[in-house]
Amino acid sequence: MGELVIGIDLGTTNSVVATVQGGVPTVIPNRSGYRITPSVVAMARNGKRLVGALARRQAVTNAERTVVAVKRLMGRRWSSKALRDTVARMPYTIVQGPHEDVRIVLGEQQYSPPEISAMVLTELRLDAEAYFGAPVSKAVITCPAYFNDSQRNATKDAGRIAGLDVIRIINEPTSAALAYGFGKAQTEKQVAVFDLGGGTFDFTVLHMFKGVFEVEATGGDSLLGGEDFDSRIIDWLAEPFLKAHGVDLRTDKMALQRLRDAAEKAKCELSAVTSVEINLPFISATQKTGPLHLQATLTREQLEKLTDDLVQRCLKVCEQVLGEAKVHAGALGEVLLVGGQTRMPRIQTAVKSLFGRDPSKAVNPDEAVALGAAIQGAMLLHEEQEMLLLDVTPHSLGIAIAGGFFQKIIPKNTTVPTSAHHVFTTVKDDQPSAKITVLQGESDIATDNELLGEFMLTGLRPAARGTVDIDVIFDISADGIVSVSALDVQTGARQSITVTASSGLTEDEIKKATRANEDWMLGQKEDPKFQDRKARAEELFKEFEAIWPRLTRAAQDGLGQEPLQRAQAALSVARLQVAQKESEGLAASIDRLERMLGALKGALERGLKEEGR
Amino acid sequence: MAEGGKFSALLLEGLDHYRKGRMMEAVRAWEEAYLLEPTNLRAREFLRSALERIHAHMTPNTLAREAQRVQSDGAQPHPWLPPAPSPNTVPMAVPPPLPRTDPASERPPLPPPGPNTAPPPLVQPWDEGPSLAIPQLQEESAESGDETSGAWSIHREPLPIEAVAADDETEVWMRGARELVGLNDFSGALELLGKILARKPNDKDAMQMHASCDHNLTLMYESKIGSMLSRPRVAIPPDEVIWLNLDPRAGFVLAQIDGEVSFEDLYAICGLKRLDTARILCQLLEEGVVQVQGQEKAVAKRAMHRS
Repeated sequence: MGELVIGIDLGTTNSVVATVQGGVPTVIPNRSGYRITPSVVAMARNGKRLVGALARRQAVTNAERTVVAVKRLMGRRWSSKALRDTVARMPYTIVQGPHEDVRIVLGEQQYSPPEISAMVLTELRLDAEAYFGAPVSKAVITCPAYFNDSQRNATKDAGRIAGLDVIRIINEPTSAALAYGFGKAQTEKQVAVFDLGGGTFDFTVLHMFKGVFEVEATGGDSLLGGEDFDSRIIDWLAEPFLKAHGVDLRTDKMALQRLRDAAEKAKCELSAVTSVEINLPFISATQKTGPLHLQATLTREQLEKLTDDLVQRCLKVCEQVLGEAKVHAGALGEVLLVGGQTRMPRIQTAVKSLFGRDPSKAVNPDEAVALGAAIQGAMLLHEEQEMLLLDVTPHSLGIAIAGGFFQKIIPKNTTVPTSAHHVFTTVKDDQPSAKITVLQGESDIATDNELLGEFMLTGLRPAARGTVDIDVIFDISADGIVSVSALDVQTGARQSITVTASSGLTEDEIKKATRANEDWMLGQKEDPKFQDRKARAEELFKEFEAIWPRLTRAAQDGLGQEPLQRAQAALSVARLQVAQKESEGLAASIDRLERMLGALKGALERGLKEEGR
Repeated sequence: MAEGGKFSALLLEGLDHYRKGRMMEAVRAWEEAYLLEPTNLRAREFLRSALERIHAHMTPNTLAREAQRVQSDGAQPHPWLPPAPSPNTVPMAVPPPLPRTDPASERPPLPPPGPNTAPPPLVQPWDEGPSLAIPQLQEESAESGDETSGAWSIHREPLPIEAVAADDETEVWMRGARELVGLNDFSGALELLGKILARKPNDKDAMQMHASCDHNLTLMYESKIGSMLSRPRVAIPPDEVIWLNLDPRAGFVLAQIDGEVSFEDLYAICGLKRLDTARILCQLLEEGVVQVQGQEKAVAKRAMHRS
């Protein structure tokens, strides 16, 4: 088998891994047989790390220890407004990291967003390795077109921690276009990618010609996705129940989890049939009535009514982006549907009415992005003629000016590489220096935008305000690296910075996280029986540790040293068996330790009883 | 009152008598409970314990007083008690053992009690319930030669003739919990310990005993469940689920069972305490509502008992 490469769609809600086999792009099913893996990581109450479907199934009941939509936190600074908005919506705890970055509290530990993403990527890597029966190390990972350099670097770092050599990060719409077969098109084409996933909506206009992909405009709504459609169904189910029984199912975690699962299932089924039955027996109970069941029939028509405003929001974003790109909807060559939610017939008819043409549905919308990434990976690996993927700046770039305002220097959707400058002046008499605060965003208020970096231009000549000219120059290279310089036009004094995009992790931290992940993966390769026994043995070690001080006292008070010595010997043997992975021997040791623990606890309890008498 | 409710009330009533040293009343309450549900292990074991204590501690005089009391009440002497000694008879050192009969027969069986007869170490109250042996000191005590250790040692304690002074209710509950632990009734002990902790959340002894009971009970249920790696599936048609007798938590656990997740994963995704999940899973398995491949039950019962 030659060198293997995988393409990964690392989504906000779901992730998919694909490869190219015999020239055919193929999705790799996970070890449970599903083609999609939820991008959810959880620390279950029993201490087990859960990734994917299992983590998602307990996301409501164990919300504070379940990380969903970590993609929204990737590469974000603690002070950014976008982060503040996200933090307010997340049920888990997010704290400030040591480098002005963010950390997620999961159980007793804190993790950076790339580490959490790495857990999802590791799962996908293990799925791929199980599929190939061979190790996989190279990958192409996708990210939204609007991701800035920090976010892209964070994605790359996540790949490194997961033990992957990320050979390319590509834009999701570009990847989808590749999957639809536009990679080798010789004719010039302008296509729109309508990507409605689980948690976000992105709309992108791409221009393609002879292998050159240019993102002409991109936009979206980061708080609009399939989960909002589910929520409408949940409300539709819960409201009448509340009226009939006085019980709000949305406030009961278990009931809400069941409602969410049932809503998603019903929504998916309604893409194929016109009505579905929803049965949730024993969903609640009251003292007066006893057990309560929820039974309802939802029709496609009702669902469309419930979610009409969400569909309209999507269309509004499309119109806005088309306006920015100065493209007429009818002039587009193709409209590609991406994301599971685009299976909804109402979405497809809405897209058709806006663009005046049937959208392309040739590729499974859940899988298009991953398949495109796999195609790109195969091309890079086999050194086929590389396509040129041209990007645009997804956000405007500029600096903060007097009064707390933001002055844009490079507007949004400018194709990179690019350069632009603007002349500013001093605001005070004899002003000795000027602080240049580099920002990214669309708001006129400086603090509402993302801070990229700052520096001081010192040594300005003493002069009345408004008479010193400062030229601020922005450069974005083909690799997306932003450099900003400020020049005192009269004296020629110059200061500059290169905005180094950081994921928030230092090199040492990345290495440490990579080692920790490798250790975890080694554990995963252990026999499941041994894993269970090891977990039980570790529980027993802790229990012995907890009662040991009391046992020591009890030994002096008449229990004697012998039981403790025997327990100590048995614990040493068990620890050795854990270290040497002796599964069968460990089973016997667990049995012995359990009996000893029960006996010793009994002795302690009898001691208490004697004292109490 | 429903039979289940009456049964529980009788158990509690008996326990109250037992704690206060009123063994005869305890026996009567538990006997009534036992006759209501002859297959219920808890009632049988409680009754056995009470009778053992009576046999171990009753003097000829107390037996005679009891016989007199019974006579004055116009009731029949209790069939399981040793006969009251006549003035001419020599008091018996060891009462005659009670006959052991089939639990399904009209008169439920009881093991032979006796003050000098060590309880059978291998017969556990859970032998017909969860199959795991309850951790006890018997093995240890055999080695150390201490015959009074182990869960059954309660039967050799002096009979608390005087009623317990109710100076502090939690003290009484604690003593009750210890006695229940001695009777291997961990769920009963947990109930009392829960009451103590609700009043005194930082009571170390209660917390430790609570953790120990929780652990033992979980082990018992898990021993019935079997391999944690097995993947259970629902054994009855979806439209019949509504006819079961479940509470919302059991309904939630049942909804998570799809034949693809293992028991261990169910613990993780249900988000309940391990003991609660184990208890629900055990009940669902016993009632045939869910099954594990290769362990199918011939008949799936349609209702779950609550006790």
